[in-house]
Amino acid sequence: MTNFWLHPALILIIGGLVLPLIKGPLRKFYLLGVPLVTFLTVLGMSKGTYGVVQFIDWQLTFGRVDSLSLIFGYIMSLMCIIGTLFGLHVKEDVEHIAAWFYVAGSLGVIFCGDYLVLFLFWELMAFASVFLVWFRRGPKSIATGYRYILIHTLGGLFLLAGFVLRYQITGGDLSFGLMDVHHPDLATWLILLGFIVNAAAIPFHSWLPDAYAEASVTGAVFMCAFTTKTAIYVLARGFAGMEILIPIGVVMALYGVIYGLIENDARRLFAWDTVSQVGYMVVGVGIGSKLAINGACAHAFAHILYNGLLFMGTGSVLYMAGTTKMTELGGLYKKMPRTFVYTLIGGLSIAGLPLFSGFVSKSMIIAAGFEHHHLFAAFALTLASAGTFLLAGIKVPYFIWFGQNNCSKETWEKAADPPWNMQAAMAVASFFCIFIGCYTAYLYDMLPFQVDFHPYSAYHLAETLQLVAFAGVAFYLLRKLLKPTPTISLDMDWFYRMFGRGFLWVDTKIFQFIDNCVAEIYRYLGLFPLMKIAQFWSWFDWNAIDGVVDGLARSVKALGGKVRVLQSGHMQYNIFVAASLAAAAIVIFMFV
Amino acid sequence: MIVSIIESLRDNMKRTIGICVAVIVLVALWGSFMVDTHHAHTAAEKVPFFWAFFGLAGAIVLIALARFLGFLGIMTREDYYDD
Repeated sequence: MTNFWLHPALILIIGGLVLPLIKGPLRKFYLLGVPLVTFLTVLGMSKGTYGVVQFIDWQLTFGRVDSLSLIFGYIMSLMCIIGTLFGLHVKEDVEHIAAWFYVAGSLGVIFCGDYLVLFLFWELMAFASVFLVWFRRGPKSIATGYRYILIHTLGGLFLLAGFVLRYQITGGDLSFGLMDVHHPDLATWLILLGFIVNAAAIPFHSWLPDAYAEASVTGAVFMCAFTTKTAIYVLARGFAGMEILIPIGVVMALYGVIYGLIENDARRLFAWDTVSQVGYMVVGVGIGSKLAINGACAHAFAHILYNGLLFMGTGSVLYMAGTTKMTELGGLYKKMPRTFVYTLIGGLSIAGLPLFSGFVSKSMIIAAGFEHHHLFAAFALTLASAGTFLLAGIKVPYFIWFGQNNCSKETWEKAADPPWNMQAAMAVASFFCIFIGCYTAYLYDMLPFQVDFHPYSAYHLAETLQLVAFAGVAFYLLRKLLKPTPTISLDMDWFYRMFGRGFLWVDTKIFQFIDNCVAEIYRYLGLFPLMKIAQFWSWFDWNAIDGVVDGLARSVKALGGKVRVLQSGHMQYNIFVAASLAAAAIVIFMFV
Repeated sequence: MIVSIIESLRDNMKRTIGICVAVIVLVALWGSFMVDTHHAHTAAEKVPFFWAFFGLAGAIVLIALARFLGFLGIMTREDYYDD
């Protein structure tokens, strides 16, 4: 080590391991204290390289602290406080431990300086977060969790293969930095593939709506913040300026919005919106200029807060009303008014309305697109903005809080604003969404590069307001087409789900049939003759060999039987017989 | 308070819709004729009501695409994977 440096991930890991020992009224203070100390540790970091460890032949770096890692470390640890506050009522220690280990994995990736440490924390993230799906304990949680972990294992294997290959090609270089994005080799492509699986790039995205919609109420709040944004961090670190990311991001931005428009489950809808918003960041990384990278970082920062807020809002509906299906909700503003306001703030932030955080972050990426003549990407992202407003700004508020009341009697009676801690977490996230939107210097001063960008120009305001106003008109005109239906939408996961089923069918039908045939053939051609031969030898042994041996034995036995009658066992009788025989012999000898 | 504000808006639906329409028209007029467009990135953006049209047409295209996916059979019954 160059000097003493406490890794923030270590605080969360040790904090999590100690948690089961903390009981009683102290527990809640401890739950808030551990992420708070983590946040303060990140806040107190100064730039430099720390935690350098020699391991076998490799030099591992746990603490690369620079402007890029600091902004991500800052927002991740801040979100950890908000997420833990939201889940303060959760009694199961293991759920808190899983969430903290997950955040620790994310912080470990953010501050790492080489691929080995990156991979270690990358896998910690995947294996800790799957428990957040399983802790929902729903009928689909187990299967969803396994699909989630399988996809992330696949992504991890791409990453592993990529950096091992790179290690070979470079003659032992494990350091993680900007790749040669203009002349990518196989190793670069494999590493990129590993990263974009976690970024939920199409067609590797299905794990995201699948898992986020099935995760526990608190689990989804953590999951929506960390995996994809950590992927954006590593992409910004390693692949800034790789142009293939621009079309990938554009497809994500539009695909997510389109699927969100036909989604019935509010949490799944925001999961689709997450795919769309991460698409903006991927485009920003693909453009790669200072403004674009700043935009990707700013949007990741803002997105973590408003997405967390949206998942807290819809999570509160799930927690209190028991469902997030819009076909089973409606008119909830009377029962959950505060949750409505918080979720609306999240919705207006994600839609990028002025005074809200999304306005000051996503506009940087779009501006960078126009500035670098990626006109198609810039217009497509603007179109996705209109779609996001349709989804989060209108569809969800309309069909959950207003519109026709489709609540069952039970849902309606249960629905109410959630416990104080959940409301407090939403209030904190709402504050940041508005604060970032109003006071841009707070966010912009943390960005990796100094860039002169002013989102509140009259032209940008006019553009945004017209865009959302007329997207609203489109919603009003076509609202019947957007009415939720009790359906699910088939997606790319159809292929691996069906492959899994096909594999199971082939296994249980074809392979089982072949196995049965082989077993029958073996029985008739192998086992049956073998049994017959064994029976013959058994017969031969019994009747031939044993016949001779046993015949002798039986003869001896029969003779013995005959002789036995002479043997009474009484001494007097034996003496009597012997004496009689001796007397008879003497008489015969004397007189004959 | 939140509930009473919302109920007041719902009870006076015509007034609420009128305010919304007025705001939308004002935004379109202000954005098209009163804002300096020399910051526009492309020539098309200088056409009056460009962003209003883009927002309206774009949203309609997205909704149409989404419904088209549903028409193709992408939207299916909830227990599809339960069989």
